[in-house]
Amino acid sequence: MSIYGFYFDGTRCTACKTCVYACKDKNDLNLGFAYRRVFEYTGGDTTRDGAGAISSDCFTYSVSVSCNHCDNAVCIEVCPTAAMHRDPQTGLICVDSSVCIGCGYCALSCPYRAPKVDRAKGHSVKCDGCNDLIKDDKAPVCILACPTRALGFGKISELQAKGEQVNIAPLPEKDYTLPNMYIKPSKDARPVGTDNAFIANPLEVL
Amino acid sequence: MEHAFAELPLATFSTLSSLGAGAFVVLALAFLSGSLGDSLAGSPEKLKKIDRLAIIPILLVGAGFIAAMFHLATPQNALNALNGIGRSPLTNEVVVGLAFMVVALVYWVVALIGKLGAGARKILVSVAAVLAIAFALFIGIAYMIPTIPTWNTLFAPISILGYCLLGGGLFGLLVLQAADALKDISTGPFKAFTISLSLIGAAAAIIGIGGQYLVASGIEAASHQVAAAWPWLIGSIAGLVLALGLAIIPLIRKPSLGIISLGCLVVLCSVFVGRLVFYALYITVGV
Amino acid sequence: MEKPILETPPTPPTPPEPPTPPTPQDLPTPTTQATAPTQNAAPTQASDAKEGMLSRRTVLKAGGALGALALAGGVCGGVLPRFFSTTPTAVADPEEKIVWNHCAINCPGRCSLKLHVKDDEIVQVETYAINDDDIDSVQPRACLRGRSYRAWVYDPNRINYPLKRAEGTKRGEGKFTQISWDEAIELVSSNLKRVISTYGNESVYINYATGVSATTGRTWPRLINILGGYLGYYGTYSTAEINWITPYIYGNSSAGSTINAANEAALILIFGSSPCETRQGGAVSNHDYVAMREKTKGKIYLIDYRHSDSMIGHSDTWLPINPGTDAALVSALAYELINTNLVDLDFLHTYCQGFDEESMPESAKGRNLSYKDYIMGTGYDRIAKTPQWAEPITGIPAGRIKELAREIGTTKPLFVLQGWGSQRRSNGELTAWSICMLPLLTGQIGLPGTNNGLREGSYAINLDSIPAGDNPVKTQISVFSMADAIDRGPEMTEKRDGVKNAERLKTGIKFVVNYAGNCITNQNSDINWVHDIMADDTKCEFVVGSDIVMCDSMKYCDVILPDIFRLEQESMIGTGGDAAYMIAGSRPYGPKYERKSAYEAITLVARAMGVEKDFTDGKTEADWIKSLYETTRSKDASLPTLETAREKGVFTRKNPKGCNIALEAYRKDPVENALTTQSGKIDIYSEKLAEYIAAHEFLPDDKVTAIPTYVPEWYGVETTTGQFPLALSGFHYRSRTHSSWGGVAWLKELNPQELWINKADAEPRGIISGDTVRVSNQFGVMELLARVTPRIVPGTVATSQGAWHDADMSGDRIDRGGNYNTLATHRPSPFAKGNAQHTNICQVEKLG
Repeated sequence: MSIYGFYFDGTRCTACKTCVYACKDKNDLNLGFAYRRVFEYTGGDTTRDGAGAISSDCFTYSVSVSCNHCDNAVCIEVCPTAAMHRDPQTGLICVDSSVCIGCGYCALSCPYRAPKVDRAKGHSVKCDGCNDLIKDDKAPVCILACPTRALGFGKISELQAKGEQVNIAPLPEKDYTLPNMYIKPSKDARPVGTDNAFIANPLEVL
Repeated sequence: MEHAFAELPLATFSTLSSLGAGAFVVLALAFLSGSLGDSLAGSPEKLKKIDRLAIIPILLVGAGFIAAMFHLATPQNALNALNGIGRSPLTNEVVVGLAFMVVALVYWVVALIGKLGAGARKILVSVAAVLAIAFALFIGIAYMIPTIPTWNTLFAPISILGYCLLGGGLFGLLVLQAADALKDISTGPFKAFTISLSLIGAAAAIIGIGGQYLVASGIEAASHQVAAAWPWLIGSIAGLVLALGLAIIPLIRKPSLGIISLGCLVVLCSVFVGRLVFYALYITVGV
Repeated sequence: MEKPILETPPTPPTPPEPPTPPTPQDLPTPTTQATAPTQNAAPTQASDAKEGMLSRRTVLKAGGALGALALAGGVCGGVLPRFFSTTPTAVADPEEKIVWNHCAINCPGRCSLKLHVKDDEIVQVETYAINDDDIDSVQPRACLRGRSYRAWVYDPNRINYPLKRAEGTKRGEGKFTQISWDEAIELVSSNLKRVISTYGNESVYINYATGVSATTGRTWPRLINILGGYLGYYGTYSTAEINWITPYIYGNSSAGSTINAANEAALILIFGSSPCETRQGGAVSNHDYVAMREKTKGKIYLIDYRHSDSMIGHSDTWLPINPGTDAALVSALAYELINTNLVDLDFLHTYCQGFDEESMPESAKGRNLSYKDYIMGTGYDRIAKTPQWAEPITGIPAGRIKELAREIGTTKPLFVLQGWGSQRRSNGELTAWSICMLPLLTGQIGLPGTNNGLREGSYAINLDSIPAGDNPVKTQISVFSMADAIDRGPEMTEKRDGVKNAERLKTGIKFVVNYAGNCITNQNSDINWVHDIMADDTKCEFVVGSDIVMCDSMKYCDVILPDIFRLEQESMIGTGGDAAYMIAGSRPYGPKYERKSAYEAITLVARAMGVEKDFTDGKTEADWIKSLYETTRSKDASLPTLETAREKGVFTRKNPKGCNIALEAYRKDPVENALTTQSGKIDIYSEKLAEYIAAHEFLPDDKVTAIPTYVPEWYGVETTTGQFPLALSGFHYRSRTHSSWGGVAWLKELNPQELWINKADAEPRGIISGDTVRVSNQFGVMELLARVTPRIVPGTVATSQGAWHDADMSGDRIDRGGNYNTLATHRPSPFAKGNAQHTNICQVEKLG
């Protein structure tokens, strides 16, 4: 089971993507790869009547997600080589790049889009919770990058005291994989399965 | 159809491997019910020819495996895929597929060196046939992941089973006809069994891909993909129906290599297109 | 797809000869060899965007092995452990070391950068951060741009050698040949001498540029002042209109409250500002606004034509309004407040001049010239500014305006703030003034939880900068008038064209210095028009540019001097938001290729002009940094020593008062602390402005008044045409600071250039998100991706400013970079003669 997880404060996030780039820089990711995604979820309408009066029920909120190091990780379950595994010390889910064959099964299965096959490297890649830093008693890079302090990381019990297990659109129902991402949802947050809203920034997430 | 074209190696693999493996079901039927052993007891040359020509479906499966290698980012570590046996549906699929290949190759090699007795032939080919069906089912089961709602249905293995039986059947007929043995066994139970096999296969294939399409069309988030896949679905089903006809004709008329070859071509294309539809409908419950 | 700028390739790289040794002793010996591998252009946004709304996941998965090769083509080498291009260096430090420095681009964030340096390369960029749960701890965390510095420092568009415009080519073609520093300095100094002796110093102009901030960052003015001075400018592209009008309102007391003053407010109104997007760092408004929003019990309204990112997760804070109509809203609110007796007459009579007839100055009495006369319709245009009048203009329903007026009238404290979006329009001066009326009408200034209606202020550490000295040339033009002054300088007058301190210009501009700025074209307006003026080298005869990267404006230079980033050298900066901080940066490695620091380059020019000693004062840049800091420290003893500052990198300080409140002293005692306005009070009617209007010429549709009024924009929601039926506005972008970082593939990948368009305007045009659209008006045409969204009001389209202009200027001139300024008007605003950059109309059509 996981020991650590992420915390996301949806009332503070302004969708700047600093977390995405701090991670890209630390992990030296080229174009085409990011271990973190900031989704912008938009719904409602802004309209104007015949007299020119504007009305709006438009809502937009953001969610920043990397890998949730799920308790019921489907990536580990489906991996044919057992390359996808939990680090015995930290419990964070990592790829053993020496074993991985890059079949992409994890990438297909994960409903959070965490793993992805890097063909240039020959294996699957994803957020590993900055496993190396955690072992060194440091925090993941994204946590300390966020200018509005919207991200956190820590022991799951601590996170459970701060927020609720993520179960908002556009992310999936938490029961699929039991994600270790705990959030403070914003006022605009909508439940999973909302159908009158959409991911408004598909070109901004990898 | 973007998801489909991103998975060409897998579409190729699942097409070639299921069709190739499925040939052994017809061969097993031929050896067991077609009294091939008896009616060709005086034609050891024909039996030898069949044994030799069985390399065609074996190569097909091999080509499928090679296509699968192209899908991997590090194919040289492919054997690591055996690590997840029991837990990972993909490992299970690989294990069964390899088992099939081993049995099929043993059959072919032993026959080639002239040490294959009639009894051994029946046993090896029957085992290969069972493994072929299992392989087809496992290929489909591997896609039944709870987070992929358009694939997480029994329609996935059903469709591949269908391809295996209908398509494989055609390739089995191809081997038999190329060995000039089909007319000798095109009577009796073999004909009935093989026609039934093709009918069942066609039904399973059409129900499989059609059912998957229906499931997908009920998912709002997949509507764009569903719309794009419609003409490909129609094309695939039409092709499967034609392939069914081309599979039955040689069994009720004088068999011709031309008809059977055409049938193999048609079923190859139809199954491939059906696989493209399958991949095109990929959707995740999340993002 | 960016065209390679260096179309004449530099001569094949050879180890450089040692450059002319500069006198400053502590500059490093050159350590670079010019053997950098070239970096292929990365896959562009457009190909991905063609997939429309589809999940990005599929697009990038496509192609399997071939796809990987395409991406790998963008990866330099493939054998290097870190994928950005590196230059082998002679002196390599194998141990990884931490070097503190600061971001220095045009943003008051100036955030901390914790550089990991190994083998003379930056291998990672972190920032100052504390892992605590205290949102008030001061942490100048760098934003995504700061975290993308490696991608920019190693950008293939960096300028590595001195360049001169290729023979037989025109400015703007962007073709250059590599030259030596000696030749570059010779060209610059000989032309400077010639121009000064032929036309006089008034023909020399240092163009507005904001790409660099540091205590020793901008030293061209110092040099040119020593050489006799240059034609100056007033105003900035950020604040032209608001800064012009503010002295008429508040005199010199214009500093706004810090954002955290709004913690105490009960109602917060924010016009034309997106604090989370304009200053993204961890200790400026992005953070400060989020912290305030969390703490305040006050209700917040962000009044904007666009649901900005400052409203993400808090969509109920959006009050949608048509762009350019803020003053109409304020006028209608004023009407309601007056009508329902919710104005604070005591305050207005004590602290302000001109609200009503009673408080008008002698010179304007008895003619119905008060603000109240304007609002109630008893003077001026004689139209009562009722909510019904405002509804079709602003798009806000009359009932809503009444409701809001009631809220404003009955809720205290009221905190009113405006960004700089409202004022950057053709009616900007009067709009900015109007917004200030809101806190004045209910007496909500100078008290806890209030602001003066202007932009938020900051509590900052202000470090002394290198003194520029006095400019012997007193004549000035508006910051926005360079192209005019080149084109028709001697026709420009004080009465009509904003010339200051002279009746007219004596000469056109003949020599331009463009250091660290992209305002020749990219950030200017009406790029097509400016291009033609700049391309004519009989008008402006010489342009020397200096920058780190080959941006669009650099194409218009005759000589280019390659600069280095501030973070690549010793540097210091002070700044702040709700809290103050200061960063002392050290050098990670010596300049690479033949790049030089600006100070070194300008010293070489000074030497060639015979004024080196006057320019340097015998100091190296390091000496200057030290002595300037000592000067600051002598005034503020709590600052650390330079050594400590450098070791720690970042020094922070909280505001001992907690927050700053604008006009606190004036509110306490308006007599003792009278303002420096003519009346000594806050001017709602300005006598001084009335005199100014009488003494100057204006165009008929610039309906200037000496009170804050609503004037329709020249090109706006009230003045759309059949040909150009949509209003066009701009906003700041997350991935750029104006145009800085605009060429960095890493950032462009996840931050596409998009036109925001409402469904109501997109559907009739058959446009869906991801389509490429063409946007055109009388000034130009641009193409970019469409984003169909409810996050913008119908009738208006908008895109982020700062995209890199990308057009075939000798061909169809269609800007495929999506630079908004290709369509922006270059007509100057009535008072400030400033950039009315958001005042545009256009048509949009789907391509293909």
